[in-house]
Amino acid sequence: MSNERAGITPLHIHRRGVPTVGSTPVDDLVQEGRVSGQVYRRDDVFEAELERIFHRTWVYVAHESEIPDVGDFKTTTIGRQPVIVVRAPDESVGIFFNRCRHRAASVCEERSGNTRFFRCPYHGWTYRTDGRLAGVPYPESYGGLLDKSVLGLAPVARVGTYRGFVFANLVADGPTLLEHLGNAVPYLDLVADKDVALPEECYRYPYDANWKLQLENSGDNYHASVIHKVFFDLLEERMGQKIDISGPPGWRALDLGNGHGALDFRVGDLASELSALPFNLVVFPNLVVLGNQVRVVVPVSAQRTLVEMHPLHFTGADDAANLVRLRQFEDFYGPAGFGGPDDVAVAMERVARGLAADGGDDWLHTSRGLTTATTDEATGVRTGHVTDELPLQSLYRAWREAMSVEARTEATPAGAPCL
Amino acid sequence: MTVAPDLLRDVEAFLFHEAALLDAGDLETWLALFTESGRYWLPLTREDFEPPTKLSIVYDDRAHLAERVQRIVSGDSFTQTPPSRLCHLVSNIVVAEDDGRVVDVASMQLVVELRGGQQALRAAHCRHHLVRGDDGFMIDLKKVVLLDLDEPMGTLTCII
Repeated sequence: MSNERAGITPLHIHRRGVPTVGSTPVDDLVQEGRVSGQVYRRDDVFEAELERIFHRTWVYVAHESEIPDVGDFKTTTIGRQPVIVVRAPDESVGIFFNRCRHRAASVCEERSGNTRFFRCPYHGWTYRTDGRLAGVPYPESYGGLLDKSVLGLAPVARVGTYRGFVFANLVADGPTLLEHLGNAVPYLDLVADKDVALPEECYRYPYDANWKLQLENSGDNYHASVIHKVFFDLLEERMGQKIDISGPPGWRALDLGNGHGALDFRVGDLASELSALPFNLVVFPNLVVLGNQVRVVVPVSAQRTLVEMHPLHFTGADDAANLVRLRQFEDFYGPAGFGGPDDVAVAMERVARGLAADGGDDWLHTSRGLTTATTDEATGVRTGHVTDELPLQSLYRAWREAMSVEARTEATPAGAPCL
Repeated sequence: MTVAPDLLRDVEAFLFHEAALLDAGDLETWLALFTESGRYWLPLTREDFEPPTKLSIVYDDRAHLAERVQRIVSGDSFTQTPPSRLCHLVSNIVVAEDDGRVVDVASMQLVVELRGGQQALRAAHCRHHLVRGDDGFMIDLKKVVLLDLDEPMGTLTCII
């Protein structure tokens, strides 16, 4: 394994033009129907993911209900880049790098709030909520040469919103948000049609394993009858009926393309007993919507991830109904839930421990439904049995494509095109 | 308020007894200390309103608490098989109020949880509402306000 200098992920283009991470061809990391354990373990793969995925694609940062009023803000990260998401005076959403243009101190360290100005605590440089530099103390020393108009908080390249879901993109080129969301849009519509809002409180649940394992688990129905058996036994008792969680006829797994995937439970009544949304949706690379929550996956390192779990508040429903949903959410998810911690213990932590055994065949198999799925010619969506691994196939196809994009390095001749 | 010494002594003895049951893993006996209206509450915010309208880590009524205990003792919970080893340090016990029916007790606890070879410190300000039963005190509310409730929080599936 090569040691890559922090912050630089050279993409060495071999004589045959093969994209790599370090000296490993991307084609050795992800193949059809299987994924190498290296993608969950290697620090240099993680660094490359930050640069080639999180710093280049549409990344979910907020829901508009978190910043409804002018001056409302929250802080978050895009990959490793700290940003401020703020409702500007013109009511648009601004996303700025959380770094003072003077000498780089972080400007805001509150998780959320409402403000009229952001004032850097170091030298008092003050920014308006549209990012513009409002003023600096003792400007005389700049001899009239301080051009405030170019020293506002640096905005991210692109901001996109779809029906309340706010995304940022750190590069100016590439697909539009709508193109990126693609076949995930109908599922986001199902959520938005329910007039959802995110309350201020959420769980922030860390685990010691790779970020992709959370996306995999969220698009996985195969495990439900095993890991969550006892929960569903309890539910059967409470409901007084038998539940077949591995696939009432009509339940489906979907490869939505662009890295997105879904589990669709919209057949029969069971889904509504379990949660407010009759599907699981994974939006590549960091957003999951399922049950009665929005989940944000925050990559910290190759073996550490933070997951934010936001319960959904349905503005059309009455308080009593929302309280029932909140208790259901507490019931299953979160650090003391009857389901979530088992997922973390097995699907994340035990996988991390198993991955340390890389001496044998280091492949993880993602081939359930690979050859049996049916493809919609018009949309490209692939559909299969609900226990099929179609969401994972979508995820790793997009991963492979993103990781194969040439990055700027000193090895690249000046003027060479960047894919 | 001025508290009769034997009341404080009885309350302390009861809290130490409760802690000893949790440390011993004797959850069924511990559960039996709760009244029918009893609640076990780990808030996520400093909200002081019941039933909480904001998200909690745990808000169990008696029935849900019984399910929680059942999951642990039956071995059905991955994260509690084997169960966490606990060591409760209970201190700073103060009787805040006694209206003749409910004794409102504030205390502090520092719990060391050993699970999967890792130790976690769980410091908390506690609030108990105790009622006098035939065989001594019973718990109508155990509220555990964790010191680090604002921080990212990993698995906490033991009873604290």
